[in-house]
Amino acid sequence: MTELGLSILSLAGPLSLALVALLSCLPAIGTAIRIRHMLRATSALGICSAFGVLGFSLAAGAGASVDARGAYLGAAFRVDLLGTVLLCVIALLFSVIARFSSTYLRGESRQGVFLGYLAGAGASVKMMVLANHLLVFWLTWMTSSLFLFALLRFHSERPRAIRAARKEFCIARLSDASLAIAFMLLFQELGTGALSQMRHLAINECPPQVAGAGLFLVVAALLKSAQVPVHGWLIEVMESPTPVSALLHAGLLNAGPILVLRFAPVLEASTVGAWLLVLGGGLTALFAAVVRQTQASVKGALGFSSAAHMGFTLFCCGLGAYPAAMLHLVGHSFYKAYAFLSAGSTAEKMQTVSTRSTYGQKELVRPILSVLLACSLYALSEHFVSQVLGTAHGLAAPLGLVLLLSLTHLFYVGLSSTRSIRPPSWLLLRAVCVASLFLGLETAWHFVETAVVFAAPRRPPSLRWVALMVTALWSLPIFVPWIRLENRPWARRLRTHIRHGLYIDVMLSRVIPGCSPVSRRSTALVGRP
Amino acid sequence: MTSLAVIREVGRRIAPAWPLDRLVAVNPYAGLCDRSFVDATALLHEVSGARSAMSLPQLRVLWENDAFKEEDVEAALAEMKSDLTPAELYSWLQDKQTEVQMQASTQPTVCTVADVVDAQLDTCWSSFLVEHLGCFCASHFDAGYAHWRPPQDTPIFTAWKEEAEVDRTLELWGAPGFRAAIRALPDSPEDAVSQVLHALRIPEDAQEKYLHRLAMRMLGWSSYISQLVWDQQRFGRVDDDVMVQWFAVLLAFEYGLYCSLVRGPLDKQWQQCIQRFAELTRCPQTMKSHVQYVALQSALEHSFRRQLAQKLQSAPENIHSIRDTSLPPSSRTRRPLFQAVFCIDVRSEIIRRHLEHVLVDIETIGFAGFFGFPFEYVPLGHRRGHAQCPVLVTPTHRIHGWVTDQAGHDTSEQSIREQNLRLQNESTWDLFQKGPISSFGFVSPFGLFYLPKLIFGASAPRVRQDKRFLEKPRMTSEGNTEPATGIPLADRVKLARNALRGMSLQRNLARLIVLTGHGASTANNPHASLLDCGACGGRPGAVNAQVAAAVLNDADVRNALRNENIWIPEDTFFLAALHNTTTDDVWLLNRAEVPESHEAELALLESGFAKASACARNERSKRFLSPEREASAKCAQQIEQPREVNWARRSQDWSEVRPEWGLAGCASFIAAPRHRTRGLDLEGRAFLHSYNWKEDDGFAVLEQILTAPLIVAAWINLQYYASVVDPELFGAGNKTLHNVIGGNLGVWEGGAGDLRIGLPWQSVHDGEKFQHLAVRLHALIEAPTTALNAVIQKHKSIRDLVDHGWIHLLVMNERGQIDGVYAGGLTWRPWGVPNQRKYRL
Repeated sequence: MTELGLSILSLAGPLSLALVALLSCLPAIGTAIRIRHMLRATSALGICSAFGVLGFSLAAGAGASVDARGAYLGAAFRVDLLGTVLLCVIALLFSVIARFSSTYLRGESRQGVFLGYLAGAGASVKMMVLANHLLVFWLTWMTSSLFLFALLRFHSERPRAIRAARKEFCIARLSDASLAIAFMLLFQELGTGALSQMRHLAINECPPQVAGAGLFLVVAALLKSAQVPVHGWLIEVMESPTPVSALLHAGLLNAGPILVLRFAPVLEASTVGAWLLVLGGGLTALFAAVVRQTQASVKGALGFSSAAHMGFTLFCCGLGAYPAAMLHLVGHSFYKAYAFLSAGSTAEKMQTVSTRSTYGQKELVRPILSVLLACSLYALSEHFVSQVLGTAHGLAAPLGLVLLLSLTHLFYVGLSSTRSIRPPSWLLLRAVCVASLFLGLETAWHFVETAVVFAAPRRPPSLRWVALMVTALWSLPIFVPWIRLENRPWARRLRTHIRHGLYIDVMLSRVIPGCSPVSRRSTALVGRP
Repeated sequence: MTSLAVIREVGRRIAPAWPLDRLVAVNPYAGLCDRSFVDATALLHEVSGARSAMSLPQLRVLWENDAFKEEDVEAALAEMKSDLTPAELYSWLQDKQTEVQMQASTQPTVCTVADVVDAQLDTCWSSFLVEHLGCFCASHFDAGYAHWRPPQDTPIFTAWKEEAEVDRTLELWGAPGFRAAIRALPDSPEDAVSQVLHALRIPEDAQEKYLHRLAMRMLGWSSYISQLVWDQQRFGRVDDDVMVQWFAVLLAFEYGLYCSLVRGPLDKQWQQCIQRFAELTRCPQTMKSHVQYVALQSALEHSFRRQLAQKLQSAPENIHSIRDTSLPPSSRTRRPLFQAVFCIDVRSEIIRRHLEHVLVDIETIGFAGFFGFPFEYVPLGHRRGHAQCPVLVTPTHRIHGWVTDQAGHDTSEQSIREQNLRLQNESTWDLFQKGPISSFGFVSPFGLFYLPKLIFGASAPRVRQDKRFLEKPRMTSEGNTEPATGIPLADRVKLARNALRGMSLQRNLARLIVLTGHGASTANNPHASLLDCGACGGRPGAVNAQVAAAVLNDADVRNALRNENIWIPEDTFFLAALHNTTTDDVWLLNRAEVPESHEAELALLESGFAKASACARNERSKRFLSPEREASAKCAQQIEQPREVNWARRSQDWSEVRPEWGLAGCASFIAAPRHRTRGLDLEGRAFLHSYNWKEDDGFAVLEQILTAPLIVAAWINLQYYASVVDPELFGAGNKTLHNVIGGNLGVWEGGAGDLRIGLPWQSVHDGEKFQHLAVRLHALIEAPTTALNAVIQKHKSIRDLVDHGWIHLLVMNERGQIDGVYAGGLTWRPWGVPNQRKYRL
């Protein structure tokens, strides 16, 4: 296929969406019913084009006629495996969300406008993953967040929506600024804006500009993906219709990890950046995952869970485990989109959960047994995988620890659900499933990705030790139910503080103007977008 | 009155609200029915700024579209004996200035500490404390959603105080010393209440209004607490005075703000404010506008009543042919082929009408959807059951579910084992998915598997007949005594007798009698149980139909009834069915038990149901054509054929926020023999209860109808009324923003705030206009007025409703026409004669 054909194919999705977004602004054409039809058609087109491109690049990669690392569409865009996979994921998610919204918001007076913003956000994210120029990347990075801002203000009569949107706006602009600095430094060093030139960066004699660029990139990613301490807006933006939350948590929030994946070669130059990712992401993962356990509202819990997963993905990136990060990113997108869109059935699901029983709350047999079971299963499967692959390759140590902790948790909750301590067969089956899928997918993906996309990352050994320590910290919350702390006064106090997110968000909101829930000024300036 | 007595009195004024798994319609004015409509809504306006009638623009549109006419306005004013002239009212209605004045008066006139602080310091503490306390309540009452929950049995004041003593949020937002103030309060809620009331210097005569204002500010959670009290009384559990605890929390919050923020000039403001409390009398201007609203509201109701009368009058000529075939059962020489009992729910009216049209030889009967069998049902493998009866009734028996194989052998044991295994498996998986660290280990490999769910959940409807129906109620404890299940014979006979009497089914019974409960199948809908049968406690009525059919088919019961001169023919078989109100399908639940001799009739009945379902769907689809689609259909000249609505999709689509209209539109309640209204198109807006007073010895059935089904219908009607006239306060808000809290406690609209009660916006509004016209219920009953008067005099519950203008009571004569109107105080005036009674305000 010619270059022109490929450009048309890959850009058909985002451009048609952009057209829908434009048309929705024209009151004569943009009636809700027309926009609905157009959006359905364009999102289907988006899926076709994305998978067409994927097919092409796989075929081309095998034929080696095109540079395996990407085909170029003029100066601005290119198609490579990372971009194409992300494009497919985004196209699928977007089509589901668009379809959902066209029924869900029927009868809402401004549905046409809403779908227009949605199309705009979809178009910018799709273009972002295809971008091959710093300027294009930056522009799409910013426009996607502006469309999100517009969506968050969809109910501009709600003070809480305005407050949250304002907070998001401030943090997103900081992230834009940080990215702009990074890109300027990068442009200065490369002399060109083309992303494809990055692999020619000589890492060994790395100039300080590149290290600086890496640092600013990391800061931009951390800000974008709602990492502590700027996670507050992510929890507060439930003031927009459910599909916005789905789009945000499954799509736009991923921009941070996508940025790091895209600019992985630059990050090689910045050890500080990697440290920041490991610490920032790792601690957010711990913090948000624990806070999540105390949240009583579905969307609040899902919000903290998203922050935790983003933290984990960035942690993997910092560690250099790009394939793991990528796998987690894609899996999380599907999982979270489903969780949000089906949030209305929580009460239905609760009816079965309320009959759940737990056994053995104050004894040590089950905890110890589950640790032993998890360890042995882990060792077995690790051994098996390396046997099959014929190499000694396993998981990076922190990832292995995550699997181990997960298995322990699974065994513990499984054993507590039965009266006898003999592990039931379904539990063993589940555990084997988890272990083999985790190891299998991670390893397989690792091979694919490192072969095609990423050069082997290099990280100082000290970083790995720190990462291991962070992961060790993650084991703390697993022990919470074991000691059954809930009834001790100090534990109740701790729970109160944790439920309020250790007040981190309150302290941040005091700094940002117009975000205070007790000041009338924050709601006085409300106007329609 | 002591302050505790005042708290109990105020607590009684807050209507209860049930959690999501057993949502039933509740009259939001339930605690205020001992006052007149005008008086109660004026009080609510004072303490919460609530609206009492539709907004002026809405009324104006109705006026311009001739929804009510001048004669209605005149009649309404005459009835109210008001000084207002119609001309004055019209100019008020047309004047655009009025709205501006009304906007200014939506603020409650009774103030709290937070209000005073907000007004003086330009802050919004009052909305903040609703959010903050709302979050605490969600966490405190959480039924199992969060994995790290507070201990379950701590009383709410203790739990709140403990938390408020350490929570730093308020201090960080600028309320210094809040924690210290709370710490200084006594631990006992009673002491805390009196200390706070003393410290805030609330005069005794203002306490009632002040406390009412506090409760109304957090109406959602106050209603939840009220429901706890209601169920405590209903099930006779120990009363730990949760209402006092709750008011202690509300007061302590005020006290904390007072201690930390109110000093100097602000304290003077507060003192002035409470001074005004004491002498608070109703502002005549506000009261006048209130009366004007109520006058227009009454005019609208007059118009409805006029149209209803016209419809009833026009009936005999128009539907003459149908009348002939539907002679009253007593005058028949032949038994009807079928009888079908439906719930009084307004949605039954449509399918009943079509069923009668399709199967000419069928008699349909309206009765409360629990068929008079109040029991608690424990599904198979569950530890706790739920009451399958109206919330006004206490269940008297407990029935467990069981399953059998083809041969009828008990397979419950095995089924429970399988179910437990599945439960363990699923709940383990659920905990694993959501666990703090294991969620990472879960998402990486398993996240990808959500893609098919995502795609097919969105596009391919999964039509399924609910699995639950495989399970049957176990009627006797034979063979296993533990746990006891079923109803003893004596009670079975009693319940069967009352049910048959209530359904007017004492003689001339058909060979096949269908007892049709109803339920709705919707997907991804937190308010699903609001669409189920309210008479079955907000659950599908399938189990009630099954129990009723089993009891009435029982040979022992029939023998015993024969002694009491109630004759159920040998060949009569009671079928249990479920009417799915979303798709209008009717599922027969005990089809397998029908004797072979009835096969021919059964086939006829099934095909009749299928046809009636199709007709009912067709009729309902008109209501679903959205205005925009109507417009586009007009363009394409296709308006003649209404587009087929895809019902299967609608009931299973996870993005559908308007699967059906529920009871929207309900406006009248008719208790009369069915042949009085047979063939009339009542548009699915009438509750139909079958009642023949000539067969009612001593008017026991009438008493029952007026005190149970009529009150339930009034509750439903007023729930819709309130959700339409004041959706902000009494409605559940926008469904697209709903956020389920505590697993099944209720919803927030958005990320925080008060618990939202009532009906969601999408349940009453189609995006263009309201699907429910806010009119108070018109109860039309065929019975002698002396008998009605006797019941009204005997029961305060119904007297409050009819004497204070919460419902309109009308009496029907033997020709099926409106004969008289209840004019209050046990007096009646003939239909068509203007009212002479002075309406007291």
